[in-house]
Parts: sequence; structure tokens; C-alpha cells
Amino acid sequence: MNANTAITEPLQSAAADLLSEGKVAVVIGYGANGDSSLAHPEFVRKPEDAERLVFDERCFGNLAVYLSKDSIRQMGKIGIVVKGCDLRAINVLLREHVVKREDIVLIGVPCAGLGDPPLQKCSVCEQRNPEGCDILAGDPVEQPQVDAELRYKDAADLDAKSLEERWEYWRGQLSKCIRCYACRNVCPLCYCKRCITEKTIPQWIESSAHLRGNVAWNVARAFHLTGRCVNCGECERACPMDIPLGAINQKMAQLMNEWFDFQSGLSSEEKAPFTTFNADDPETGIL
Amino acid sequence: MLKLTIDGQQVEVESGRTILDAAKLAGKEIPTLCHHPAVQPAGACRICVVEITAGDRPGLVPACAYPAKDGMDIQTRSKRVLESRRMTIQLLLARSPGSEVIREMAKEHGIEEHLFPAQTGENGDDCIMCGLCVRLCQQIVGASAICFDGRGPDRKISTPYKSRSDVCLGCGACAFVCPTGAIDPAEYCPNPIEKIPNEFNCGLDSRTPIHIPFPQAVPNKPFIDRENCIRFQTGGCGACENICPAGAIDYDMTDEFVEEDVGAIIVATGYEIMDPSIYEEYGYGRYPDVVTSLEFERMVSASGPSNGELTRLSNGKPPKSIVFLQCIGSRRETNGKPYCSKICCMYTAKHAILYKHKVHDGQAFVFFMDVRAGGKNYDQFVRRVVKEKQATYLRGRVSKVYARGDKLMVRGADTLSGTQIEIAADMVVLAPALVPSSGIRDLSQKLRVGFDEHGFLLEAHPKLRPVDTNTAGVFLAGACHSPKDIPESVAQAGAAASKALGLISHNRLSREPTIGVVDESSCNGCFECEGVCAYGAIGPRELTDRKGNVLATVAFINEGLCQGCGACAATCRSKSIEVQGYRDDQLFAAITAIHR
Amino acid sequence: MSQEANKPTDPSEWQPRIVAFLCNWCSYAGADLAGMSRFAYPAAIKIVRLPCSGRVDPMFIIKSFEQGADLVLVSGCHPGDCHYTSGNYHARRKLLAFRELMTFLGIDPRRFKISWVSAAEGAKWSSLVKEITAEVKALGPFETYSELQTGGTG
Repeated sequence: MNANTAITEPLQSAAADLLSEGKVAVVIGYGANGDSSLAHPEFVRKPEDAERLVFDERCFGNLAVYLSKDSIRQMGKIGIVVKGCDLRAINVLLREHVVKREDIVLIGVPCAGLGDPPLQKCSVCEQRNPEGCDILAGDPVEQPQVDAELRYKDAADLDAKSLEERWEYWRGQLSKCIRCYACRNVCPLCYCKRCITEKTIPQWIESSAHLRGNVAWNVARAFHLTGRCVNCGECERACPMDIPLGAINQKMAQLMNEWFDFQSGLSSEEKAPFTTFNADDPETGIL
Repeated sequence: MLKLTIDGQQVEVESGRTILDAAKLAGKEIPTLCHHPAVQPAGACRICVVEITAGDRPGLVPACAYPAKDGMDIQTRSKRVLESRRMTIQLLLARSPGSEVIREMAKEHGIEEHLFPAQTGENGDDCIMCGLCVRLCQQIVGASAICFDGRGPDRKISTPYKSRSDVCLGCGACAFVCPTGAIDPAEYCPNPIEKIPNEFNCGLDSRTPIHIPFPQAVPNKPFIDRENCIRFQTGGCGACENICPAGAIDYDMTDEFVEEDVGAIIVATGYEIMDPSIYEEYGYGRYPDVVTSLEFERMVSASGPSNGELTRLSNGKPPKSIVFLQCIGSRRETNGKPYCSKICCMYTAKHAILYKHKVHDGQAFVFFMDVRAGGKNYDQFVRRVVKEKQATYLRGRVSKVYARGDKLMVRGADTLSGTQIEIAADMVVLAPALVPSSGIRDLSQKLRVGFDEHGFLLEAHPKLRPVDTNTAGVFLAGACHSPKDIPESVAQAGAAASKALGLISHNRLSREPTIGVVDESSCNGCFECEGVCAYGAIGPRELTDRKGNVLATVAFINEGLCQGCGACAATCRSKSIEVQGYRDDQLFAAITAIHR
Repeated sequence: MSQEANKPTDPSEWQPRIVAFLCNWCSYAGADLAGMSRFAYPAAIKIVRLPCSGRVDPMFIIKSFEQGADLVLVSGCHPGDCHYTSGNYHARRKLLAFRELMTFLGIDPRRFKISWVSAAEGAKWSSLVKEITAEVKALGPFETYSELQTGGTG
């Protein structure tokens, strides 16, 4: 049995208890059908349905994305299964008043890595055992030391190229974009009721899938996520055109770390870099 | 109540009071030396003797100690009294020939010739054995650190066994109460006694820990400087509480933080003068007779450290020649302030006049660059100073001030005659640049008011809005805004007050319309806008259904506070904030129009 | 604004287009002072006035490029002097981060300039515009974006 499946049992019983005790109205977790390669989101409302929940290496997907949906919040208090990466997104949601801490019950699951072979993001994961959860389902797993530089490896590889090479690369990649907005829809932090792409008066971002508008869209999304994105990698995984979106977000995260000693999602209290300032912030290249 | 007659005047006094008390009530002045209202009388000096002519055993008695009796008839200046007093003074003169206090008293009593040879050396002593110090230390301070020691001519104030006192608190009460200034607590106190510089007198004299900061203080009540107060430092003394007849001293009082909700704030934090010791060529800090204008102002003030008597700090003699240096630190492009400090030309002219009042035969010189006397009657005033030969005005700068003998040589230029001048001065007065009060930067950040590179607070518009700031509800007045004198400060204060009143006296505020507005249908309630608003203008607003259930919490911009900077609009990812006049569609139109 | 003295424009010569977003209280006033003081600077620059440099959204810059700008300048008050206290501090963080994002994607960061010009710096404004106009002339038209004009997937 995969180590992760030892988590499923305590997870199911924790969920069943929460529901039967009326502490939550719904538990959001992962469910899996047989040998499907991908777990799907489960919304369990009755204690007897808790057996539908699983946790194993197929549990891709950042369930925090559901916390910003009105239809879910209206159900009442929410129990949610969180891996370390998902929890960081929830910290940002808490800071941005999307949910209140008292309205959610965090069911943490220790995660030794998703996918077979494991995803690249999991090899640099520093939060295998989510902290600050209300319930931890299963025993903690080993947390290896991670070289901080590897966190931003995708971005660093591209930075090593010349400006022209990079434009060639991104020009090619962003031409593929079909503006399906899967990246936005799967991202827990893209929760705007009205996205900037939906603003037509004026229309800052052209809506058709042409390169010019694609650049504007991807720049806007990356910029709106700067200082917020927790690099869960879901956007890249969801992109049907295999655009390496994670690299752009990694670059911005690296910048925030280097300039402001900031990593998003480590706490729900810390202010985002773009809402604060320091009198001696970097001034390089200002005339 | 007892009824007595003093010098023919009837006076009523409570039983238990002394003749001196009664005399005070009757408005009769009786000189004393060894009397202090804080301590029990001793009748030691015999200066206060008065003659009882009826109502008790006739004779000379000390007024400070003798109890008043009903039906007494007292003469305070009869022939016998004056003879006795004069003799006492003669004896004191012999004992303490150097004492200013005794000599004054002698003068007041018409004594010109000294009857007895002056005692000098060991037998001559300013201490007149009045015992006030001993009594105060024992009765009020409670330390009993000093006492009388010895008999006859060897009697003196000392500590037990003549050794350094274990119990002396160094409070200085003995020195404070000594009528002739004869006692030096440093002789008895085991700890070094540090004098507390009197801040209002620029450190030219010292003050006690309990003090009224300056005569015009409001409220005009003393307060205790805890850091230097013996009571707070050691638990000893407590003299002030003991002596206060109103029982107003409460050592347990603590600072209180008061919070008030106000609609307008006027900042009038004033100025300080720059420290001119950075200009070593003028010798401030090196030569005691080089002083700042503020120090000079205190020295000539009747409530100042020398009670208005102008004397050289080096030797106590009146300064026969005085040189005023203008623009010390002002109007300098480097190593100083580039601006004109505005008030110095006028106050220097005033100081020249005051100087001549104090020292009629003195000579005053003023080294100036330009005389700035732009106010009403100001120029006439300065002209008077020049014409009536109160001061010699020399147009030029001073290159250095140095000592020669006991004089200060002031070397400067007189550009109107094209010569170099050196003046031997007894005193040099520097007019330092004005700077805003310290702490202004912290305050201005709290109030969100801008300041320039010198720290002066920024007005909203230099011509049209000189008392407003860019922050609604905060106004400026006085030197915190720029150097200015009293009439201008008062005018600005009036303007600021009426602006403030104008703000709060209407039911509705009118303001620029270029403020932010939230589109509540698309606002996500993330409040990143609140984080960037410098004015605290953004807060939460609950959207409710008809039953009062909260549907959403969105951002709300207070139109009274918003200044229209648009930082919120730039931060809002969903573009739910628009700044009226700088809306997204307007900016979009501008951008696209450029390239048509 | 006046043309550089003694230099007639050759209609065949390519003229760069510079869009400048200026804050009202400092940089715009500085540009105004340059005009009043008759400091000449090239007419290639077109100014959009904003209340504060903190109002600048990177979307403005992107849209300016899309519309044909060869260079975008954002100018505000010197740090510490913002009329609105802190707008330029926020602008500084965001715009420098945005420039890094542009660079990462391979878009030439020299096409986006940031400056601090105070209301008293008319001379600085004029020499700044001369300098950036010369630089963008040397760089040539902004082909990265002009190639995107035609649309279609690349």
C-alpha cells in the first residue's frame, strides 16, 4: 500500500465525525474511481458518504478554489482537505477576507508527493506536513531539506537565456494560448466575481486568442498574482496547451523573495508586498 | 481671633500665629534672614526684631518666633528697633563682608560706614548661622544630614563627625533656602550633585525637579520632573508634599493618555534654533561670552537667569561692547539652511535697544547681510536703532571670533567702506537659523502631512491655500510651516482656526469631486485597497438583504477623507474602483487617442 | 512643448512615439515648468496626466505598446515627497516588478522608463526627455509589439 493510502482511513473517519457532529455542513475532499489516474473533487454532506473520500498520489487539484464560490460558502461551515501547498493558498484567502477562519475546518493531509513519477513541484516541496490545521489525518511524513534555489529553477533556467531567446520562447508559447481560462478557473486566488478580461468598457485585454491579447492576458494574470501566488502549479497542470505558466509565477515569486524577503501563503497575517512599502525599497534603473 | 496693632494699624490674626504673620496680613514688611515659612522659626538672626510697646512685656522680640497676643501694640520701625537692626547688620557685615545679601540689607538701612573690622579668612564666612538649612533638612526633607557643630566662634554647619554624610540626598534644599548662598551641598553629599539645566533659560541657570517651566505656562502650575526628582529616584525627600499648603502634591499621579475624536487638527508646533557650534569660526561653545540670540533674550529678561541684569558669562561684569552676528546658518547654500530665517533682523534691532537700556555706555555693533524689515513699521524701527546711534550697522560677514586677553576679537568685513574690521567685544550674540521643532517628522507622518527637505510642513498651495495641508482637516499655523514672527503667526493661526471652524460648522462638506468610488457589484471585498490608502479612507461596508442578512462585505470609500490619488484603483484587480475624472475609460481614451 | 530648436522634422524619418504617464503634483508640474522656462524638448513625447504615479496600472503600459508606443515613461514625485504620501512608494514596487516581468518574457525593458521629477525640476524634465528620445531613436521602432499588430497566432 502506498504510504498515502494510510491517510485515507483517518481522513474518512474525521470527515464522518465532523458531519455527524454538525460541525460542518460539507466536507470538500478528493474522491477516486477505481484506477482513474486523477482524483476528482468530492463534496460530502452526509456522514455515511465520507467513505467516498480518498487521499493518495492522484490527488492533484487545489481544493481551496472552492472556498471562494458563493454556492459553497452558503452551505455553511466548510471542512476542507488540504495538502501543504493548498494550505498556503488558504492563508492568502484568509488574508484577503474571502473566508473567515472560524467558518472553515482544515483537515490537513501529509503528502509525500503527487504523481507517478512525482511532479517536479513536489521535489521542491517544503510543506509536506501542513501546519496549523484543525485536524491532521494520518502520521507526518518525512520533510527533506530543500535547496531554496531549486524553488525557482524553472524561472532561473529561462533567465539564463538572452532577451531575444526568451522572447522567441514566450512568443511561441503564448501563441498557443486559446484563452480557455482554465488557468484562471483552477487557481484558488483568481476569485474575482468579474475578471478583468470581462471588463469591456474599456477593454484592456483583447478577448480573441491572438498573440497580442494573449500576451496582455498572461501578463495581467501574472501581475495580479505577484505576491499572492503560492506556486501550487495547478495552472500549468490545467493548461490544455502545455504552456509553462508555472515558470512565470515562479519568476515573480523569486522577485518577491529577493527584494522583499517575502513568500506568499506562509501566514495569513503578513501583508502582501504590493500593499506595503519600505522607504528604502530597490531603486535600480529609476532615472 | 486676636486683635493687635502694628505701627498704629489694627490687624486680626488667628491664635497661634506669630507677630510676623500678623505683620504680613497688615501689609507691613519686616526683613528676615533666618525665617522660612516651611520650617519652625528659630529667631536666630535677630534682624526681624520689633518693639512691643503694650499688651505684653515691653521690649524687643523676634517677630518671626514671638506669638501674637490679643491687645499687643507693636512698632516695626521705632528708634530702638532700627538701632538694634542696624547693629545686627553691622555685626553680620563684619562676619560676612563678601555677602551680597548682607550688603544689600546694609544699603537699605542706610548703613555706609562699617563699624567693625571685616573678618576674613577662616573667621569670615557667608554663613550667618541662621540654621535654616539644618531645620529644613530635618523638618521638611527628613534626612537630618547636617547640624550645628562646635561652640562660640568655632560654631559651624557640619555633618556628624565631620565626615561625608550617609544620608544626604543631594536634594539641594539647604542651598535653596540659605539666605546668603553660603552652603554647598557638594561638601556633604556622597553622590555628585548634578544641576538640572533650566531648559527655558537655555541652560544658563538650573532648576529644581519640581518647577513651573516658564512664567507664562498654561496651566501655571509646577510639575515634577521624575527623572531628576529625589523622591522618585530614592524615595527620600518629599519636601514639596510637606510644604504644600493646598496638599496638591500627589506622587502617585500617572500620565494619562487622552483619546478624543476630532474633526480638525491645527498643527502649530513652532521652531527651535539651530545649534551654531558647527561653525567653529564663531566660537560658540568654546568661549562662554559667545551666546545665541535666545540665550541673550533670556539674559536680558527680568524673569531670566540673572533677573534681567546683563553680565558677561565669563566674569560677571556688564559687557561694554557687544557684537551681533546675523545669518548664522541661514541663507547658506552649503553647510547650513538655504532660507532666510525671517525674524532675526528685527529681534537683533530689538536686542540692540535692550542692550543700550541695560548698559547705557555700551557699544553695540551688528554685522548684517541685508536688513529684512518688511512688516508694518518694521523698517522705521530699525532706522531708529541705527539713527539714534543705538547700534552701528556693518554690512559684511564675520570670518572669525577669537579670544585676546579677556576680550573677544570679532574680525569681519565692512563692505560699504571696503575695509576689514576687528572689534574687541565683551559679548558676541549669534542669530542662528530657525528649524522646525524636533519630532516634526514623526508627527507629520502620523498626520499624513508632507514636509520639505528642511522639515517644514507643506501647505496645500503656497499662494492660495497657505494654512491648509493636503490632508483634509489638518491645518497649519506658525513657524512649523516656515520661519515667521508673531504677527504673522497670529494671523495664520486665525486663518487656520477659521478654516477649521468652516470645516466643522457646515452640515455638508464641499470638496473636489475627483474621489474614488467603489463598484459594489464587482468588489470582492479583498481590501487590498484599504492597505494602500494613505488616508484611511477605505473601510468595510456590509451589503444586506431586506431581512438584514449580510450578503457580502465590500469596500467603501469615505468621500470626506479620500484625496483622489487613485492608489486603490491601481491596486484593485477587478477594476472595481474608479477615480472620478481619471476613470479607466478616460485614461483608455487618452492612450488610444495619442496614436491616432 | 516646442520642437527642438533649429531642427526641422524630416517627414521620411521615423519619429518615435513616447507615452508618458505623469503625476499631477510633481512631474506634470515639472514638465509645465520646463515649458514656462522655455527649456526645449522633443515633441515625440505625449503626456497623460494622472493624480499620482500610484495610479499607474501596468495595463496602461501594455495598452500603450499595443497602440504603437515605442517607449513608455512613468514619472512621479521623489520618494518621500509624494503629494499623497505613499503613492509613489507603491508605484515603485509595482512598476519595477512589472519591468522584471516584461524582461522575463523577453520584452525589452529599455522600452519602459521610470523617473522621479519634482515640480521644481523643469531642467531635469527637459534633459530627461531629450535623453530618452535619443535612446529610443537608436533602438528603433518597437518591433516586438508592432509585429503583433497584425494579430493571428504567431
